Parts: sequence; C-alpha cells; structure tokens
Amino acid sequence: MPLKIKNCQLLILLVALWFLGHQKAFSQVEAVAGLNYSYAMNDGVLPNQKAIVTPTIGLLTSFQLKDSSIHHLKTGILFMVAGYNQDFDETTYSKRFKYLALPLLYKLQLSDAISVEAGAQFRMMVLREEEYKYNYRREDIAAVFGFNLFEGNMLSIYVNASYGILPMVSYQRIDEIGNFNGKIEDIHNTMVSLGIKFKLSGND
Amino acid sequence: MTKLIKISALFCIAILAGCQDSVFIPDPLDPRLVKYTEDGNNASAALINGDIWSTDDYYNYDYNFYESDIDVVSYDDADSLIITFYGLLDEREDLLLHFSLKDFGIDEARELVKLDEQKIQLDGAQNTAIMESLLFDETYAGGVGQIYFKSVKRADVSVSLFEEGSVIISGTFSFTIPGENIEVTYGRFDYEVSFVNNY
Repeated sequence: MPLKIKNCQLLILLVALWFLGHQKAFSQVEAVAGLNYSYAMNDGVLPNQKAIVTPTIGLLTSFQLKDSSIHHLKTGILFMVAGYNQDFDETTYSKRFKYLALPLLYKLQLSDAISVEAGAQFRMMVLREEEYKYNYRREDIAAVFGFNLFEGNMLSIYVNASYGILPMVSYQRIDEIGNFNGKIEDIHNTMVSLGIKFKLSGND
Repeated sequence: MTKLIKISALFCIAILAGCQDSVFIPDPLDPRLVKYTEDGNNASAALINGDIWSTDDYYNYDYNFYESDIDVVSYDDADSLIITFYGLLDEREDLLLHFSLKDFGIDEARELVKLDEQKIQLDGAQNTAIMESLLFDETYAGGVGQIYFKSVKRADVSVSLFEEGSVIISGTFSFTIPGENIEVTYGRFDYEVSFVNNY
C-alpha cells in the first residue's frame, strides 16, 4: 500500500510538472480546488444512506478548437473523493472512494463571464481499502455537465454535476427471507461539485 | 430441546468441524452484514429482531470455548443432521444458531454436496431452527422458516485449508420462533468444512 501511495503521488507530480513545462502550448492552465456533494444514486437498495461532502483537487488545461475563441477542449487530472455514509442505530458506516480522474470536456464560451461544459471523466479508484477491492468496481466513467464563472480571471468559480455511468457494485439481490432475485447493478456515483480555479497561465 | 442438543452432543458422531479464521467482507448494501460469498470465508451473519448477529471476530472472542465457527454433526445413522453457526449478538451475546435437518442421508462430510441448491423449508418439527443463548443459558426451539444451501461444492484442492479435502457450503437462512417474538432475517453463511473430524 505505501508503494501505491508513492506511485499516485509521483503520477500527479509528473503530470503537474508536464503541465507547467508545456503551459505555453495551452490556452489556459488552472489549478482546481472544490467540494463535492456526493452520494450513490440507487433504487432504494442502500438503506439509511446519507450524502457527504468530499474534496477535489487537480489541474486543468483547455485548448482552443480551430482558432475559435468560443470552442474549447478541456482536459487535465483530478484527484477526488466520492462516497456516502450509512447510519444504523448509533453507528455510521463510511464509504470513501478515492479516484484519479481524467476529464475530457467540451467547453463553450457563452460570454466573457460564463462558459458551459459537458463531457466525460474517466476515473480510476486508487488507495483502495481491502473491502473495496471485493465490493466495488475500480473504474468509472462519469458524464459531466457544468458551467464556469469568470474563467478568464485569475480566480474563477465552477459548478458541475457528474453521474457515474458504470455501476459501482455488481451483487446478488437477496431478500430478507434469503431468496435470490437477480443482480443489483444500479448503484452509481453521483456528485454535485462547487469550487474555485486558480489560473496558472494562459491567454485571456 | 436443550436436553436434546446436549444428548445429541454426547452420542452423535461428529463428522466434521471447522475452526479457522474467518474473512469478514462487509455486505456492500448493509455493511453490518457479511457479504454473500461462495468462497469458504468461514463467516455468517443475520439480523435478529433488527440487531446484528455475526461471526465477525467470534473466533477471537475471549469466551469462545469451542474454538470453532461451525459444527456439522450427523447422528442416528445419517438420519439427522445438525448444523451450528457460532456468533455474537450485538458483539457481546454468545449466541448459537442450530439447524436440525432430517432424512437427507448425510453420514460424512463429503456427502454434504447432496444439499447443493436445496431450499429447505423449516417447519418447526421435521426440519427446524434452534437459537441458543450461552450468555443467558436459554434455548428457543421450533424455528419456522427457510435455509437455502445455494452452493455446496468440493473445495478446490489448491486453495483448500485442509489437506484431506473439504466442502464449501454457502447459502442463506431466515426463521421465526413462534410465540417468542424472535425473527431472524437476512441470514447468510459461507464456510469451508473439513472432511475429517477435528474433535
């Protein structure tokens, strides 16, 4: 496990250094820090679920498409935590899924102050606890939709919603009697995120 | 019924017993319960009147005099079979769940595979569940419900804990004790049991 932590940190550091070293090639490079309102969307199979607030940090860069000032492609690397709590009596059971995510987004600049974006995040669960290896899918692909305020400025604000398309769990549906009724495959990571972006470099 | 169990313990032929550490993987839906598996994880769990009963840490429990998680006992010339799961209610009450099954013709461990995919209705008489509290020295018999042996298979020799061979029994159970306001739900078990008598 310590080796994996080092690997993840090394990967993030290398990507960050690569971004900084190639920043002139991009329209804009930004550092991201935000909070996610996270829960697992399901059809009632997770009893007593409570949403939690989790962090996201990372680096994003955007490219202009076809010399257009309004069409952009955005990518980068994010470290985020998803999950939820379940309360039974006086005990809280916490799930914290740590992901490295590669976003691939199309951004449309609506005005100087506002842009909207949509696309996908390709996520890989990292730093997994032993239980998670048995129970939860490691990969996820999330559909993302959001918007940005004042993105050309040094500090800007982002809001987005994401929905994990791949089911987190593939498990037997067992009723209280003990009968098996097919499989449960409809638990999905769901997050609403709010944060700030700090412009490291780029054209306005 | 307590006497019956004690007499049985004296005269029966204990054909096998398991006593090894369990792998307790929490259920992804209700983390109080153990996940349903078919790997021989030596774990079991259920809700008893909404409280959690499980084998989690039972083997390391200070008062586990039996040093066991499960007993499977055949007696009366394979006429009767008693399967016992050892666990703790609310992490403190030493509580055993017995399942008494009749006329399955199982005389030795390897014959447990006869139970594969058998969904057995517990009628409180021929086949029944019994709950035994060691802490309070109380026994509740005549359990009515169901035990489902969803998978009973020979363990792969390469991964078996026992050189002599073993069987992995996995399934679910639920029952009520009529007149006692006891309801056991969401029961599941997954054990590897040896072919040899460990006692």
